[in-house]
Amino acid sequence: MEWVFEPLAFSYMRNALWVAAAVSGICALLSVFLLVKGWSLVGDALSHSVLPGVAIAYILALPYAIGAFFTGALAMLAMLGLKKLTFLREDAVMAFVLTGFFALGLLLISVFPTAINLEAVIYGNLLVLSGHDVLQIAGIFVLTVLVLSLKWREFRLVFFDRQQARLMGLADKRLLALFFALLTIAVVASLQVVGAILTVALIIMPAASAYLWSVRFARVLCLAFVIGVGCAVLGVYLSYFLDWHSGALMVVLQSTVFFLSLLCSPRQGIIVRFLRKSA
Amino acid sequence: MNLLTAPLAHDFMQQALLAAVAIAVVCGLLSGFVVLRGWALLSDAVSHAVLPGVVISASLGISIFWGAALAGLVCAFSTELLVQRFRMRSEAILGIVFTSMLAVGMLLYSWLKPSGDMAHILFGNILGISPIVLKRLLWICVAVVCVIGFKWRDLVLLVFDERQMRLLGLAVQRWHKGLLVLLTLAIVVAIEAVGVVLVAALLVAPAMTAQLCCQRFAWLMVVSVLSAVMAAVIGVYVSFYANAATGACIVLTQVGLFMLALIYRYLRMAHLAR
Repeated sequence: MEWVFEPLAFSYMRNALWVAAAVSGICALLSVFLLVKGWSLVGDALSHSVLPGVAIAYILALPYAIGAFFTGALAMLAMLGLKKLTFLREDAVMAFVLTGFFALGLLLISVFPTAINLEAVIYGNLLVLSGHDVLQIAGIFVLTVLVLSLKWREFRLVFFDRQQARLMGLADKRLLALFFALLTIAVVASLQVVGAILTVALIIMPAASAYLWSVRFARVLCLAFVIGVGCAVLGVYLSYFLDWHSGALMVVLQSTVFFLSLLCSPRQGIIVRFLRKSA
Repeated sequence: MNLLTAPLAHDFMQQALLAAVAIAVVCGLLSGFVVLRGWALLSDAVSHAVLPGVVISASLGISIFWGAALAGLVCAFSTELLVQRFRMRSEAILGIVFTSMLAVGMLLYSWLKPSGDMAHILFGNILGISPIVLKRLLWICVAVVCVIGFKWRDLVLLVFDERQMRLLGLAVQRWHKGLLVLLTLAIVVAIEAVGVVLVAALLVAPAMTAQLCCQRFAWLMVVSVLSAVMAAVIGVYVSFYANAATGACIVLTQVGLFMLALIYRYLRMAHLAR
């Protein structure tokens, strides 16, 4: 039985487990709100558009989180600005901004070949976290969970029914700005865990699975959190034994959970439908 | 003038220029349909989802085109199926399908460890494009031009008025699926040139630029192809002189053209308002 606890003997594995669980937990919480609005792929746009920020931060020798946050916010503004030209389709604007920013990042990296490790940004690397990184992510986790536990009812109202929220005197714009700030921070943190391309999975899958089991918002929130954290811990743990990419393993586990939920969901699951049809 | 002809002395530059223009024609033509039918995020998803196919065909030692095309088709059609069967947000389904396939591809990669450089798939390698890939690209270019040229009226109807199309007794679903297959093939050939992440830009930006300049669909197609070709040529030249990533240069030139179109639109609106 000793081999079960073997990974926990290494401090880098303990760090990786904590960080993966924290990041994927907050992404799961945020995903529940995003799915309500159909904004799931905003996370995709954000995670790609942080690339130029990371490159600039490396060139100027700044902490990369600052650069990432800056261009992430810039991309959000660009999307909102282009959306004002209402006749351009929203999805096209999103894809356009996403790829434009990513191209800028690639260009910067190819022109200024710095010590930047592109692979680490795109694939993430959980196993080389410094003590500083761990503290930073612990801070982000506490902040996000605190804000969400104080404000989740307000957020829920704004996301489900903005009109009503405004009528009740909530500062809907300020709440949305706060939400997207949290989202941008979460995306920047998850760059380190699963990398730019797979981040979007952490912001879609837990909520999509959880909504298949319940329609009560609070329950969905808890369930998504459990799914996110569980898959993260299991993924990192298995990656130690299998020597596979931990981020990819986390995402594959999450999609397994999703497809199992699709099969067994009590209301629109495939099995239930089949039984209904044959009954 | 020397500035323009000097790069053409190199064989690889001639090929790269030819490939970039061919891709621009394909993507410029298809981008009208992508933007107006709402397939922008689908094309982004398909371009990411090719990874498992690429890894498997690379480790089997066959051309990665076949694996990539198969994986792209699986992504496109399984998304369609899931959206039709389950009442769920289509973009969420899209995100789930493509990230799952991407992650599976990464796991397969770390398991099979195929030879060959995966960075080329991510970032494209238009300067080192092989003659086989170029030939395939030109075939697909011809196919896309022919289909759109000969079936123009049906396709316009598909974009603007599906109900009318059904009333006329045309096979809407067949056209829809056919266009999807064509789009997937175009994405797969474009990946070998500009890489996974930037393909979506080539399929979205030209039509968005054109939408700012013109109202008629036929003109939209013309402007979108012209802007795509222009961006391709300028991008290849800039990347030659600045020694920068070619795919990124092409995409950023398209972004620049979009900005110009935006400014043009504002000036014209201001002029009309006066």
